[in-house]
Amino acid sequence: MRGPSSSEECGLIELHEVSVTYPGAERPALDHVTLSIVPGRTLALLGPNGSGKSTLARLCNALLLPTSGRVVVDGMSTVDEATLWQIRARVGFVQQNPENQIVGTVVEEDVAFGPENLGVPAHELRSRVDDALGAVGLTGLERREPHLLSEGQKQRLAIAGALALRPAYLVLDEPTAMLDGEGRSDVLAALRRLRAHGVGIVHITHHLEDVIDADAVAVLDEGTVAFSGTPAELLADPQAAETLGVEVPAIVVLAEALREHGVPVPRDAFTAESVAEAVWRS
Amino acid sequence: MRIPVTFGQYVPVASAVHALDAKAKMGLVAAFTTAVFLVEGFAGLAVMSCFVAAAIALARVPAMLALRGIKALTFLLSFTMVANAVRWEPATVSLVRVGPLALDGPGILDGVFFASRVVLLVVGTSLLTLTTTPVQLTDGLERVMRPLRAIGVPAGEVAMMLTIALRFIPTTAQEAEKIVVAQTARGARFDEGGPVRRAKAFVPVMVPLFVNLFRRAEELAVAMESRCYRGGEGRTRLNPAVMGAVDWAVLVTVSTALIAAGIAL
Repeated sequence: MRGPSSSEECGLIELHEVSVTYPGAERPALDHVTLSIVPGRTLALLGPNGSGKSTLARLCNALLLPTSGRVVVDGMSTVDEATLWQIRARVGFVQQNPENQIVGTVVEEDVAFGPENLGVPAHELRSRVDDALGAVGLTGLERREPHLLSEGQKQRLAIAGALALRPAYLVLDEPTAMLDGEGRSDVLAALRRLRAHGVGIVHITHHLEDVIDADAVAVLDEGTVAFSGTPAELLADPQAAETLGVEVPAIVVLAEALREHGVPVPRDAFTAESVAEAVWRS
Repeated sequence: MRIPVTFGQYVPVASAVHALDAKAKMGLVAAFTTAVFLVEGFAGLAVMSCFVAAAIALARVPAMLALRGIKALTFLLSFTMVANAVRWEPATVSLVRVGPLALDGPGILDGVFFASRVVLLVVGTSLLTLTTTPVQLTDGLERVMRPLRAIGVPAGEVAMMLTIALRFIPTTAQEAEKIVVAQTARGARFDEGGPVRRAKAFVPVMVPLFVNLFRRAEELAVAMESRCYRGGEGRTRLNPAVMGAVDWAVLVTVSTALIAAGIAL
């Protein structure tokens, strides 16, 4: 699960031996973490509270600078003041609570906020807003006031606000934590479409089922990478996954139980549909 | 639960006055205020009154709403009247005399004149907020304040602060409602006792509300920084409010007419 090469020139966010220690903290929040984020692929970040997930997210767009080690976005180091705004435009950042990320008084004004800050000319702003709203399925709500949207729509609006900057990467810190079932599946569908369009996604979550189709999973524990691999590799040993603090999806537990009872459910069946199909075939 | 939140006193109807650019309306308010202060006689006041009446009719705003602002000024108006009409030991002939105090004929006329001027000002300027949304006002304000940047007034930042405040009024209202419901469920009463007791009952509402507002502000700052906000400098706008030919024409002709009338009458 590496990029084309580990070159630092372009097409990659590289975290190299990154450590972060907050002032006054006894142990580092991140301890010598090395990871890379590739365009068009999803990296899922799992781990218990306080394991350093949010710290890692904030390193990617220079909201936070590493105490030691390097974070390089498409060849630009995050400590370089000169390229700070290029990095911010290239790495979109979405937080948990959609309400507190919406600046505009109507939907389209909020989406335009990012490119307005970059000084994008008015005619191009319109097409950026239309594209971003289309990508998250909010077309038609341009003049709606944010407080009249559902929570799921608000979170998709927050994603559209990041997309209007035309980022190569999107870092999402628990984007579905405050959403109901429908809002959650809408957001996840939007993220899958973005990946298909070549956006590199870092998806921080507590729910493995949200990121079961991720290209790579990293589990953080006390600031270090405790596991790095694919979702299938992580779930190959559910007990080991649980000891890392990962909540194994119910459907995987069910598949395991079915296998024990002699139903031939393949080991890579991680969704309700694929398990149902295996049961139906047997 | 959706609480309908309307702020300010904007009346959402379609009219020629509503369609006028906010900056043009601000200019007109300035010209109108100047004209009302230039006017020296009742003929001038009559002309200004006709102008206000025509503007109210054109704006399709209920006259009662436009006149509502006068109620708050009752004390000021009475004071203006009395202060002008009553003289201390006047040398001239007076209508009524009580000791050294005397009610004076020309004084009454002066009182009526000054009071009418205040009424005209209040009603005339209220047309701006009645026909312009707070967002349009904020945008207009930014443009009008822009020359002040030369002396260090952060016009863009002030406008951004106002916009964010407007954006979070409904959110904060919804949250306040939620907290009131939660505290009521815990036995709090907001509807009994005198004013002091009622005000005290809102302390358990205000505390969590403010704590949440601070948390919101912090997350919003992170979101704004992530989206490349670095002050008002160099920002473009998706929907720039541009003064069209009509806006300029109305602003120039009507202002000129108002000031000319103010000087002549």
